[in-house]
Amino acid sequence: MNRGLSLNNLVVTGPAGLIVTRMDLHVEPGQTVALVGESGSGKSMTAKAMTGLLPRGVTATGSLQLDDITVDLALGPQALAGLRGQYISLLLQNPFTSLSPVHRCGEQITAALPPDLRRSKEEIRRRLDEVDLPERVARQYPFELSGGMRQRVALAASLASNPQILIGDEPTTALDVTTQREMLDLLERIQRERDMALLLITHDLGVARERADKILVMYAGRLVESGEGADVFAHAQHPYTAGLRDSDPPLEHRLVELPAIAGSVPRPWEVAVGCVFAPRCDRADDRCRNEAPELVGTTSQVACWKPIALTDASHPIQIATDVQAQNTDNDLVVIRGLSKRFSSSAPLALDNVDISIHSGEAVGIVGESGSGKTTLARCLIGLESFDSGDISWSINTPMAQRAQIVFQDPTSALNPAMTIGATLAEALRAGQRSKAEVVALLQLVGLPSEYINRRPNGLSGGEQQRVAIARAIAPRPKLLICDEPVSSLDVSVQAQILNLMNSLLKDLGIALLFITHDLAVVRQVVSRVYVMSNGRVVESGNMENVLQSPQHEYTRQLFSSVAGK
Amino acid sequence: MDTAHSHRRLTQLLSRGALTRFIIVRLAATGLLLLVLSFVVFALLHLTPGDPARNLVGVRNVTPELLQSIRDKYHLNDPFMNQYLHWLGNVLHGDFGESIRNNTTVTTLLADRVMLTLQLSSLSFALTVIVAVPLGIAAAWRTGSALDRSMSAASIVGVGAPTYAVGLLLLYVFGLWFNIFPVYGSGDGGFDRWWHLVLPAITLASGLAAMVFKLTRTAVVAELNQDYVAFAQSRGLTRRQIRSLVLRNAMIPVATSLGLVFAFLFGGTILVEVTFALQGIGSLLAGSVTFKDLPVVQAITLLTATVIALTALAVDILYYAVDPRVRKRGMQ
Repeated sequence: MNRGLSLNNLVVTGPAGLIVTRMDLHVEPGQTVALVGESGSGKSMTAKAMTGLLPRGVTATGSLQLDDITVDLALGPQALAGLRGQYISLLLQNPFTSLSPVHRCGEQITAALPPDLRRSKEEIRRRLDEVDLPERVARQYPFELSGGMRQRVALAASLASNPQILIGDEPTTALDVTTQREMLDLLERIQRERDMALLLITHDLGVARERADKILVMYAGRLVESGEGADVFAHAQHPYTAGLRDSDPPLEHRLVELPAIAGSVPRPWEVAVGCVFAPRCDRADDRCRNEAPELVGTTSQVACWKPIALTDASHPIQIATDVQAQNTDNDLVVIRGLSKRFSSSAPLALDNVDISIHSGEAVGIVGESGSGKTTLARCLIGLESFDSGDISWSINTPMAQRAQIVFQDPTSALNPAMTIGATLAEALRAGQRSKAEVVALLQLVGLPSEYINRRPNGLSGGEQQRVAIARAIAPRPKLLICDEPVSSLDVSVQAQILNLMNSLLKDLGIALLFITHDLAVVRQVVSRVYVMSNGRVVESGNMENVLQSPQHEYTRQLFSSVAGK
Repeated sequence: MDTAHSHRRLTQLLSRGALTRFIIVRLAATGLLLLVLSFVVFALLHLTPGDPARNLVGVRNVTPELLQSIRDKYHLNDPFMNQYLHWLGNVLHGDFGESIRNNTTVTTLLADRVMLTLQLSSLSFALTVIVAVPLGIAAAWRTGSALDRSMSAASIVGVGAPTYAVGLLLLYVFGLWFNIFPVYGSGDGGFDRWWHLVLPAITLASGLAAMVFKLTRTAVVAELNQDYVAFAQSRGLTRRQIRSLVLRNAMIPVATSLGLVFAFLFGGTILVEVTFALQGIGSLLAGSVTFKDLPVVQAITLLTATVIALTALAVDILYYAVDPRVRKRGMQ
């Protein structure tokens, strides 16, 4: 009898201390449960503990119940070895690394089957068919497939032994939005057909809201709230859940300011007493700071001393009128007919692209991977050459004072050996400005002046991105280019950075080129947008107009793919 | 079914054609490389200070007639390019001229010695691979275990110990003390030859095995940390299956380093040949350099370069065979 899966009293301990504290979880056959949380919440560790794949030095206690089998997790990873595949299976985030690059897809899909079935053409065809892949994929290698197709191969492989429960650890995060939707639909269909339980681990509230029957919210290694489907967010009881919901940028309107949660997620073992969220919670009182709340409730549960009641007035949301694109001719930079090909056998990376940016204007470029948006940015700033077309600037200053760029991953964009102060001083020198401005720069991006002597690795991701932004604006460029500046940040931190960018634009009066795949994010910052696909600009116009009445088929497809918004 | 089958046949034929093309292109590149090198090697004679004809007779007293006959024989009065082409033509027929030190042709002088060095390098290479690769894999598989730690410590000693010291130690222990292996010379051919080569081969292999152990271990550890290993575990694949996944991937960097090892071995036998009094090309080269025996130096340089280039070619082909990504690039 298939009764789904229960996880009881899971505790995961790492070398530094607790990673997950007293976690319970139940998934019924055919049910989708979403485990939502930001980085460091312990959601991935929970999945690893359930499959016995914890890294060296990390141990778990608690029990896992599957059918009539009960496994004591304290017995170590070997105790779960017999369950993996047939009972429980894990689908990982990155389809580019989760398959062996030198083995054919067919072989990888059927590897978990009994030996006599591994080479059966019929079996391979059936497995590929289930994930909507053509038969030829069996003979192909992963590098010959797109990200979406690779993830389908990985899905087929994880389903090979017909598990009763599939854990998807951010299974669509590495995919483009349009592919993401197809993948989620596929997961849903397969789950229904197989009456399989699905535990979806995600940081994407939209995905959870749209796909899950039940949502569990984790914060700093603890379960803080759980409940039925979208209700968890609509009627959030825990201030963290409410904060997470509010800081997730909406697509349908632009906010004057995104409600961000101050601070950043603590490491679970750093929280000694009291509620884990208390330091960032504006409702916290003495009891919150001294006593940890238990998870209470029946259908919906919350671990909070002062939960938000249904009758509590929610924060009033201020909707901003979209800034109309200025119809001026004070062009800062005009790009005409830009084309670029990386190699003779590759398709055009940029295909006759025309873009203009006015002084002081915020412009967005939206596109999926391979659309050419990053190549365009790199050409604009001189990091990449182009084959034809021209880029004409209306100003004649050195490049450092024309444009600066902020990259996606602040950890690799900052020199780990240099102090924040040295990094900023160097950038100031590039703009022939005085070193004395370092403190003012830090203030401008909302960092305390003590950070001058610190190095990047002591900072959180959000703080690092603030430093990267400070470095970019140090030479006082006329144009700030941001390439996916919030994609690697947690939702609550993303809101802080978006607010910061908006206030910088207003205060400094500089132009912004915001490059992203995320429509809701770009909506909160820019007034005009270009949509790119396969190296071409397929649509452009005022942000609001493009959203209201998208003209191009691709734009429409992009909008309809945004989950849960 | 039929069409699918014929389609696959076609793909196979195409990829076989691609392999042939790949090999032809690489062979041509190797040939070109060796041609350039032969030019440099030939130029050695003229770059050496003094009269080339005098250089070719060495330190002997010579009559003008003898010098003239040498000039005629080596076409030293011809233009430089003609001399080179003439020399190259002879080399391609296996004629490197005559040794200055010994009154024989370079080819006869080299024949037996090349064989010995090849045997020595091959034996040493085989020992290195047989010992170091499995140990590296085992250590990586049990990172932090007693085996891993003791092997890692031993490999530091292996890398650090100088070849001649290891050679002398082995000679003392196994040659003199236990009296198992011969201490001197190249043996009388056949099994005796191999028997004589055991200690020298172990000496050579000790340092290299340590290096190959470390390389293998690092390569396997890197693969074990890949996502596909965790994914394979989570799907319930057996340890054996996972091992085969990992080894196939780890093989790629290991194969490259083994190619380098062989090339290094062939050109690096000199210390061991001297220690064990073996008549190989290493000791010959040392002697020939001392005596300015230019034709021999030229021949050995070119020969060593050829072996290294061919090894590189073999590694490229191996790469092509084991890495589908390289195959794909090769086809485009």
